[in-house]
Amino acid sequence: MGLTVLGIGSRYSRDDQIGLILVDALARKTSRPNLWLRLLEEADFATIATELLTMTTDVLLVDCADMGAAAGNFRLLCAHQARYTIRTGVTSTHGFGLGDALALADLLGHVLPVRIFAIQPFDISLGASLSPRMKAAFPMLLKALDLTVCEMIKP
Amino acid sequence: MDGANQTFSIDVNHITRVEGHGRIKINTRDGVVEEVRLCITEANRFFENFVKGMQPEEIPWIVSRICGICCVGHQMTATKAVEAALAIEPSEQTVLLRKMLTESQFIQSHVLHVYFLAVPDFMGAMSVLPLAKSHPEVVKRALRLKKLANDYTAVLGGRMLHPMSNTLKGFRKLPERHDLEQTLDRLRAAVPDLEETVRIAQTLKMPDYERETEYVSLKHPDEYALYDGEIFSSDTQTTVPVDHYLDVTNEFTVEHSTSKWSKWHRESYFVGALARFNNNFDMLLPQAKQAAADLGLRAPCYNPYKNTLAQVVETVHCTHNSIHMLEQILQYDLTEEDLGFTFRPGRGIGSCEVPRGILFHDYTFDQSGACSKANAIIPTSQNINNIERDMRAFVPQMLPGMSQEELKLKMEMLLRAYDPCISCAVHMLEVEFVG
Repeated sequence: MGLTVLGIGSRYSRDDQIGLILVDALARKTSRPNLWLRLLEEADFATIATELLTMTTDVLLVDCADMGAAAGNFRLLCAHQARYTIRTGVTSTHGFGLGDALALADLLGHVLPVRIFAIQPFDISLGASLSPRMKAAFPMLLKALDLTVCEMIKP
Repeated sequence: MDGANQTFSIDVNHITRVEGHGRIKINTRDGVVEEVRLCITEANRFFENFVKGMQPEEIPWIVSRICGICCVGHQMTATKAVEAALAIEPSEQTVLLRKMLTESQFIQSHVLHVYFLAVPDFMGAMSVLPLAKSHPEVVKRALRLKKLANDYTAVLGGRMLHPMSNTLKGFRKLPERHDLEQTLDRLRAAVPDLEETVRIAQTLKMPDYERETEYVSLKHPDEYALYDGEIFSSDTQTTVPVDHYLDVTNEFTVEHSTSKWSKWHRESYFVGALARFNNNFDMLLPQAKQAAADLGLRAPCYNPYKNTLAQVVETVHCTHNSIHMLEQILQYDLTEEDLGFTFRPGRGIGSCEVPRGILFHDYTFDQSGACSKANAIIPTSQNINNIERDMRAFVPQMLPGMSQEELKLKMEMLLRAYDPCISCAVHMLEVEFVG
């Protein structure tokens, strides 16, 4: 079995890149058997769903999420804890989101556990760097992600 | 209840991220259409300003970020424009690899649009999610094709989105022979999935609507023009060089849209799969021509809803053409190329077809070596004017026999048929806690 940690986000929307940066940092810090770390930059929902369907490990998605929490905080979510926004009637492939990707993978038979390490952003406006407050929260978030991963790959 | 003699107002307030925000407004009084508008209200994204001051080699990677779906197209068009400014001539090997990269993106994008946006409408599903429940085999096929195209892009470009291998003059990292062979096998094995895609598309009942307009695309004497060519108009049946693109796009503003509009020889023009199909039908591969025949799609076609069918035809073309190109490249002993170049100040213009139509990039470099001026004109902004004119023509034609709800759906389907390219959404997960 094992665990795949998937960083998701956009490098040019400030705190939306936090998932990518955290997984990138974790990859430099950690090397464990049965642990795979991957980035999906600006991936459309079908790509995320496709990747989930081809995975043979448990999955931890690391992403920026608007969940009504205090900015800079994180939550570890699993399917029964949250209802994700599902979009219908969209006019463009850009209109779908991660909630749709999870729902699609689920409908098509993805059965392995998926959890989400979700981080509430401060600022998702256009820009190449994290907001100063997210930068300040970064060490805490990396430590928390590392601990979460350790917990999840425990035999 | 049909629309004859009705007074009503349809306001689709968020047509979901046409450059972030857009809306369709329709007002009728006593069965007479008073107003049909496609309003684009999103602010500019200023990519042309971001690249000012940047070095030539940085630009293609930066502007790839304009779009998460058309990233290859923006990168390729920028590469060509910058190379034109610096008088760089890429090798035959590089051009072939770029053409493959370009076509991998066409397969990715068209499969996504046809299966995930168009097909659900015609199968009576609200979106792809109910379709996945009622027709899982259809959606699984779509994901298989999408995965194949994603991996094809990654083999050539280093990753499936925003590829990094392509750069000025060549490729920083060449694809591995083994990966190319495997991709060739997978593309050959995908032919039954393509045939099934055509079969499904045959069942889609397109609204019976036609409006002849000007169709604009690249045209090339030797191939179905996607990577290269001159700008062709169906009105004049002639081409103009890509350097004259400003005489083609003639951008102007209208009060209800922050997106600029375009027009060339008449009030508006159409870019995208249907324009390419109409202008370049003769250059399609036989398998794609057969797919068009099976779909009953003949050039010229004036029904914008059938842009989706043209995308299916192009998917068949790109897959078979990719098989040919892979067979060809496997004959080569791919060689690492010298990517060094000498800088010179100047201006360069590049154009490629991207899934949604013709794309132009234009860069000027000053004596310091930095970019001093940039311009990018994307297909959707060229199409907006034509989309609204289609809506204006469609509504009075259909109003007498169509309910308000039906009309609203058909308007959304019309917009979807153009597959509008939208400023990439922030990948935010919206969560509502229930426990």
